[in-house]
Amino acid sequence: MKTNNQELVRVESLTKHFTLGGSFLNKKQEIIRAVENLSFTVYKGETLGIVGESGCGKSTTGRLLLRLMEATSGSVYFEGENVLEYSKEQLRAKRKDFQMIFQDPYASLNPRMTVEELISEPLRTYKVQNRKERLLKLVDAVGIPKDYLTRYPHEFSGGQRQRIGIARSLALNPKFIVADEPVAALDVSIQAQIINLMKDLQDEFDLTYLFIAHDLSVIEYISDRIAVMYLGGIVELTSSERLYEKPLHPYTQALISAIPIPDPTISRDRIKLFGDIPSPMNPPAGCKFHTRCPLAQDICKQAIPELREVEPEHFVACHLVEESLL
Amino acid sequence: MKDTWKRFKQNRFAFVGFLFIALILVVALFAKWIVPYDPYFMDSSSPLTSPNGQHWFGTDQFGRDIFSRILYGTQISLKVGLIAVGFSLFFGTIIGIVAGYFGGKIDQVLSRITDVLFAFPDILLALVIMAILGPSLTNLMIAIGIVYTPIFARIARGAVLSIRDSLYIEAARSMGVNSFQIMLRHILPNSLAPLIVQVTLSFAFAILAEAALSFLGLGVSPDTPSWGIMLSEAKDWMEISWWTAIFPGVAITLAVLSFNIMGDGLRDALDPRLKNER
Amino acid sequence: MPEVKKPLLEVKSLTTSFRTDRGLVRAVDNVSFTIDHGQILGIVGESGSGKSMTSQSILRLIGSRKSEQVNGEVLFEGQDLLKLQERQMQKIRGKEISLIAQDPMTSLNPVYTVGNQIAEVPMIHEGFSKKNAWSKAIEMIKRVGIPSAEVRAAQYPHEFSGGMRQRGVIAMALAGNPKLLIADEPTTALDVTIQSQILELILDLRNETGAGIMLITHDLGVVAEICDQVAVMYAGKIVEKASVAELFSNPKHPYTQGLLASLPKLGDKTRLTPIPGQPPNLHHLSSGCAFADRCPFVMDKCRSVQPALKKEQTEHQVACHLVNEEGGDENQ
Repeated sequence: MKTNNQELVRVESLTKHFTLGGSFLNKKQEIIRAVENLSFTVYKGETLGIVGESGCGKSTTGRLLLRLMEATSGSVYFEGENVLEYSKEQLRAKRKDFQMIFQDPYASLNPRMTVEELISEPLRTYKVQNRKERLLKLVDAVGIPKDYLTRYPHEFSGGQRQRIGIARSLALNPKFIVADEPVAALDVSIQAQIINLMKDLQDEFDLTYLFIAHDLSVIEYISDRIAVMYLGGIVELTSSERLYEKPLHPYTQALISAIPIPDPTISRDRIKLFGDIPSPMNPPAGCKFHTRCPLAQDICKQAIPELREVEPEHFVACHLVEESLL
Repeated sequence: MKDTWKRFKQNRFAFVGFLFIALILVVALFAKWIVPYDPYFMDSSSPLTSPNGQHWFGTDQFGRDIFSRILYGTQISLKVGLIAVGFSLFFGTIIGIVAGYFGGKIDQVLSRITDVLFAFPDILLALVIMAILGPSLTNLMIAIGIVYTPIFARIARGAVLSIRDSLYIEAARSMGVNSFQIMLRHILPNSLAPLIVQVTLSFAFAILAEAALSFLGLGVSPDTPSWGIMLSEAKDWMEISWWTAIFPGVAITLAVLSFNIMGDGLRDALDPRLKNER
Repeated sequence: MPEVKKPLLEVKSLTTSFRTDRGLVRAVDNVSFTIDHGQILGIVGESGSGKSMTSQSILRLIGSRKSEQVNGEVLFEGQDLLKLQERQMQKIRGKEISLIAQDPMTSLNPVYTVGNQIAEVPMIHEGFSKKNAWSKAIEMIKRVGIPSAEVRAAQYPHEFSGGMRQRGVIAMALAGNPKLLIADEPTTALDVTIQSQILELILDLRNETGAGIMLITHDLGVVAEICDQVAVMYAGKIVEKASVAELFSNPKHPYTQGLLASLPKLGDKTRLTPIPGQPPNLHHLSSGCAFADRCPFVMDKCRSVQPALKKEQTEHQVACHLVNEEGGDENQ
């Protein structure tokens, strides 16, 4: 699944701040810096994984890209046009090109609509012709039997619901799909079914994925390239093979070494991180990771490290990366 | 829906309420053919007769048959209930959904207006509106409708707020579904349960309010067979002829009680906590 | 070899059933296992496998309602917990056996300080004075690795981060010096880097106190990290039981094999092999093996006869006709 490096989405200096408080009685405002100064490119036909722990801003990033949430500043170019500058009407017309697959298949399907109504809804919204035919093709593609069309979501298991959610997202023949933790709510035995399905659909429908997850084994498996996020910023971005073979950022190294491996014969040297993830309301100055970094130096507390290309197609935001490269 | 009906039927008490309401409905529809006497016919030869074989509930001061007037009274009560509650349901739900879905300034304005309406006692507010509009059956229904609009607005708004941020609304938005469609197809059906319950409860209030306002002489014209009017007229004769007051009073109580217990039963039957048990 | 010591916990034929609208559901079906002092037993399963119901049945958190029924024996140091009065059971919960639940937010009461909640345990169970209980609480908070314990003890749960909260819950669970810890998905709500801290803490505590631990999880990785023994559950039954080293190197039940094969492995991009079909519906179980519909090796017998967990001489037990027939002849 090698990409031809044709750009589909380009994100530039994307920033999102949430403001808390500041009401009539409570004048004190607090700013949550959910995503800060994010830049990356998604190539046509690839799967770009975004991985990180809670509060790193990965879900916010996905929603900003699809404009389900308005960005504070920055740009998102989709096929060369800045999505963030679209008017409401332009956006509605373009929405069919970029769709989302949601984490929770229990909550993302309206409980009072049948499978047929659910999958037809986007088709009706865009007045697609031959709806029934398209509908049948979609359910067939995701492996839902035709005779289940009149059933309601609660009659299905988690994996089947996620299939329905995927069929909905594919209904309008989108080019770009943001999948926000699509398998996190599923049982292990079902996860693999959905991951395989998503890979098959990518080939069949020529899809480009932004795959968001907290599970590094899942991300590493499905992605061509991976961006690791920490407290609203990308700390490392490279191909999944490279990231696994030679992670350069100390956070990535710790993250990989913390994954419990289902093989008791493998014993690893753990890179221990002390303490908890700082609050995005009050992030540390300098490198945001310095409070937990086992290698932190003085410079890390003062200067914010830029995301730099330290070797071909391998971007790292760390002052000390040259030392790891040696 | 099937589950809801099954649970509702298991609640004997509520089911009896439901049957009684069904009975009232049948009586109202077929009153013309059921009544033994013309409810407007004044038999000057027999005023204030106590209940007997001919006049089961006795007669009033003009000799009109109380049983027939009570049966006819179901029409007024149901009409007032239906139209007044329909009015508040329609406007209240629209106000509530719009306020809840859009939030911000729109919500602020609409919510403050409903808050102001809420601040007045129900009957007092209805009295004020009636005083402005003038006494008539139509105005009575409008007045009761306005009084109960804020309740529906508040319930609808609450229901919308609880589902506005749910994932399936976001999913619909991400597919380009417009706000009107989202409100109609996603939000309304999912906020229906509390509204249905409130309809039955408000129905009981509306019947009471009609009786109270008619009792005060603000409702229908005095010769109309309305339970409230009958009570109002009976107050002068109560000491010598108890039946003039008791039977309309019992009719009001039973009707209100039936709607209330049915409303409670519906609420239990629709309760999502029970529904979600796996 | 003579039996020297009784096991800490011995569960025999535990069966928990519920009466529901749609009929009787057997959430835990004839489950037996033992946990020794200082041993960590992992119970692995997916949703609906009955793993959490097992722990709740042991602690008698279910079984009091009319619609619930718990049968079998739960011998804790030889004493059958299922036969105890509720009042005697209360003395055991929190003191002899503690529970660490999945969501640290719901196991801590938001209106009391963390220190107060930990101090409550020795006050109730050991009659500590308020002052002594408080210093015990601070000692426990230190022990689970929360820095500046004195300050932290006086704070409320919402002032703690997720990982800190789970440490607080563990401190509370340990405050009564329990002999058995039941940890129900203790790290599922936590981030990976925090998870590895908590797992390490659990291991350290086991080594220090010698408590037995029953660890309930869906994550085979967590099992491989810290457990000694493991039982795999499916549709209310234990389908395979072995030492961790044995189970991972030589999984015998097709379900266990399927689970391991469906996991993505770091550095390996070959196509995943999922288990086909959907998780079992406890309302409609066939008379045969519950896994039969999803099993790649299914035989006629599997659809009609329930396979029993075979007691081999070895410590590796499997409930599968295929496995038991192959190696079973010599026992007949």
